[in-house]
Amino acid sequence: MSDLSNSSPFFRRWDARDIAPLVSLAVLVVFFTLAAPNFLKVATITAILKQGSVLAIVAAGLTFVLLCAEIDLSVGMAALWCACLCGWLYQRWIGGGSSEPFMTTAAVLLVPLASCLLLGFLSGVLTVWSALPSFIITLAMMFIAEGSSRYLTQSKLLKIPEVLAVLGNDGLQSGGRVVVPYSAMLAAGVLVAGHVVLQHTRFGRYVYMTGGNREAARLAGVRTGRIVVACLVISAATAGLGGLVNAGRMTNVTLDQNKDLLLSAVACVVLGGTSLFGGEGGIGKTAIGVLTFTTLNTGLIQITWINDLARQLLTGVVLMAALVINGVLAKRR
Amino acid sequence: MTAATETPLLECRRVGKRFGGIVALCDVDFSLRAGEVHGVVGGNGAGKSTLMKVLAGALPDYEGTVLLAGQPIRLNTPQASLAEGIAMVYQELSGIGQLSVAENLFLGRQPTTRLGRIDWTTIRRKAREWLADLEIDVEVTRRLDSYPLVVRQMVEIARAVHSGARVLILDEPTSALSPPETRRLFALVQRLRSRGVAIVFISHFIEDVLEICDRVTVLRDGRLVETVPKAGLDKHELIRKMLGHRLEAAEVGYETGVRLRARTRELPVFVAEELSLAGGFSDVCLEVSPGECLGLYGFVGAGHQELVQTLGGARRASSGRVLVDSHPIQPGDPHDSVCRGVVLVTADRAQSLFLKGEIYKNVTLAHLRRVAGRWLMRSREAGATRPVLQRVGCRPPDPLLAAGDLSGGNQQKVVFARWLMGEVRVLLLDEPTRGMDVAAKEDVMRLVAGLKQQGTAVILASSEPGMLLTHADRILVMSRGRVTREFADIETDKAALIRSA
Repeated sequence: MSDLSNSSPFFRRWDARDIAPLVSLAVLVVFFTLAAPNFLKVATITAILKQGSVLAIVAAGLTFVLLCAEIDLSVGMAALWCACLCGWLYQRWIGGGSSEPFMTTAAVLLVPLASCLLLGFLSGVLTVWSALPSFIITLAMMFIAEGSSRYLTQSKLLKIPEVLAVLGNDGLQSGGRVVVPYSAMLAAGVLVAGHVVLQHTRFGRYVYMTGGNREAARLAGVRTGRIVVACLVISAATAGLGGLVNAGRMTNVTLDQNKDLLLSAVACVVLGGTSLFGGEGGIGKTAIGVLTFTTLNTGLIQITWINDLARQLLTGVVLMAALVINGVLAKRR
Repeated sequence: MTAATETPLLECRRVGKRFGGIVALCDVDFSLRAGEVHGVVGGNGAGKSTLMKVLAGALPDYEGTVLLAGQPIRLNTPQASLAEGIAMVYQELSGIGQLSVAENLFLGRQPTTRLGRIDWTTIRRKAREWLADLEIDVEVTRRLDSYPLVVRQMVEIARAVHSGARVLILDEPTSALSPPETRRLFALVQRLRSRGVAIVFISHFIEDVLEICDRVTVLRDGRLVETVPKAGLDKHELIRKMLGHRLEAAEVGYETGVRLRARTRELPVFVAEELSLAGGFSDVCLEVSPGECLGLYGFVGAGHQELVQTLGGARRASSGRVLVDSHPIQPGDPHDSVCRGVVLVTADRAQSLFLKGEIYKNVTLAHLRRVAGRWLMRSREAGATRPVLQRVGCRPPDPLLAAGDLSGGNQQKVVFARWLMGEVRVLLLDEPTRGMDVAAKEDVMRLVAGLKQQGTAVILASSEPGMLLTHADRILVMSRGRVTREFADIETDKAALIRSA
């Protein structure tokens, strides 16, 4: 009884919904190339990679959460917390010293990441145990993380290990200029790892099925509670990592970092075509979403005849147009 | 005058509908007189629901013409159909349960006072009048969801009739109703008939169709087989028309008795001790041996469905315990049940499948480690899935299709394919063939019989006596949450079952 074009995997893989995000990206690239003469230069691409890497790392983890039909509102502040704790430990353990012993530096980086795992675990367990939406629990966690950061740093600017500054700003060079930033390489690594886990491990499959139909997954013997907890842990971990990279780019930690990281990350994931309702999407899509979002931001800055104050407005308008077009195409299927 | 009475109220001429290259409905003629109850029967995919969707305005680009009282009309939107007085009452819970009966009756067209506020006094008074008019005895201020399904259906019908519907389409109205409830609904249908409302009655339940309908239209594979008056039609003949050449697939009538088996001497593999679920059932004890099928019979709401779901871990029992091979299983934990080979198949496929996901993902879900190993590969999983899909008779057996693209019967086969990937020691079935056509039912129950032969213990909960008499070795009858009688080693029939429930 089924339509032929429907049963062929080739056609199924290339339906409009899957292509739409790619088309938006292509349209943006073509537009900026025409509108800004300097757009298609190595420097621009490097800038996009550098800017996009933090978003990509955070969005990769967030993709897990959205795929299992939950949300993590605490990613931005978890990132901030991670960076703040890192800065605080750095001041404590290494001080302003010129040498950074390897083990101490490793601890300064790993302890904050571990604390993020704990935050994610807490959000996850409370979400599952209380049966409240993760929206509520992670909203509270967002305030907790922000408050802890404020209390810990006493609103002071903190220094961070040199290695983070290198990670955030340096990269593979060619002709004396950074071409491929280390942060982009790290982001690529996170994306690939996320993709492999989602597509080729049992855990990844359980994430999709838990998001697609939680009751069905539960009845088939999947321990859906654990899957939700794991996804929130992953998301908190990538958020922490993103926070460290971002602090590295700035070469210090202040409380105004990562303010709009949460919403940008959600926009990236959804822009790529991952559903907010779970079960549909993937890391590949998130990567495209991040590129689109960063291209849009970078490109708008390069168009000189646009009023500075109008840029945010334009970003919002273009973003909404892209989201609506993607959404409509997805609905039509 | 004779011409006027002979003009049907609603007439379809050569109505057709295709989806892509698939012809779902082809050149169907259908006529409906005022004051007539007209049954529409046919297997799944016969075109019943397509035809009704055309009439309800849900399929704008149909072929052919629809005439209302001799005038051609075009039904391009549900609003257009409603404006012409054609209303459809769906089988799924309709209306908004949290609102009162009166509010539901006036949904979307509440009368207001001069100040623009909702006029509750009028709403309540009119709601009472309307329901009294149709002899529906409910309190209009109570919440709709405090009433059983049949009342909700009747309220929906009252709403349709009082908004001016002359043609009522009832989609599977009796499939979830107990016999007394069905009787109640039929009484309402008869009252409407005597007032000249034309009623289309779509059902899989042949007996119900034969009881209430004046004429019956049989569809098969999207084409009209025949429209016949009820007089002189019997069940076997009707089933023969529905199935065409596949006469042997017809279910046997159970007016005559069936001999049930005695309890086996074998050690039971699955035991429930003093099991209770608050608001569901209480103090149920049962045991099943390998290769035995225990039937659970009761009207809808008797607790037998909740019992199977609890046995399978989908719900957590409030007391008592369940043992497999004398090993207690964790209450309310399907993971533990599945690990011990205790498997639940529910009536609602949307509860057991990720419909947007590919079939192979749904099939391998429960035994992913065994089927797919450590590193999941789409091709390997699809390859492992295909033979099982063929074994269960899923059509088309294409693992890459989305599960939601399949018909209901085939979706249930996908659920079976999932469990056949591993060992099934105890198979728990909760109305496993609800809403399926005769052929698909037969396919699914053949799979159950196959598992039973291999030594699986089966528990089958159903509100269809025929189904239980065909497939169960012993039958427990449940009523209001308690086991009221066990039929074993005795000759019994439909009437005896219904009487003891």
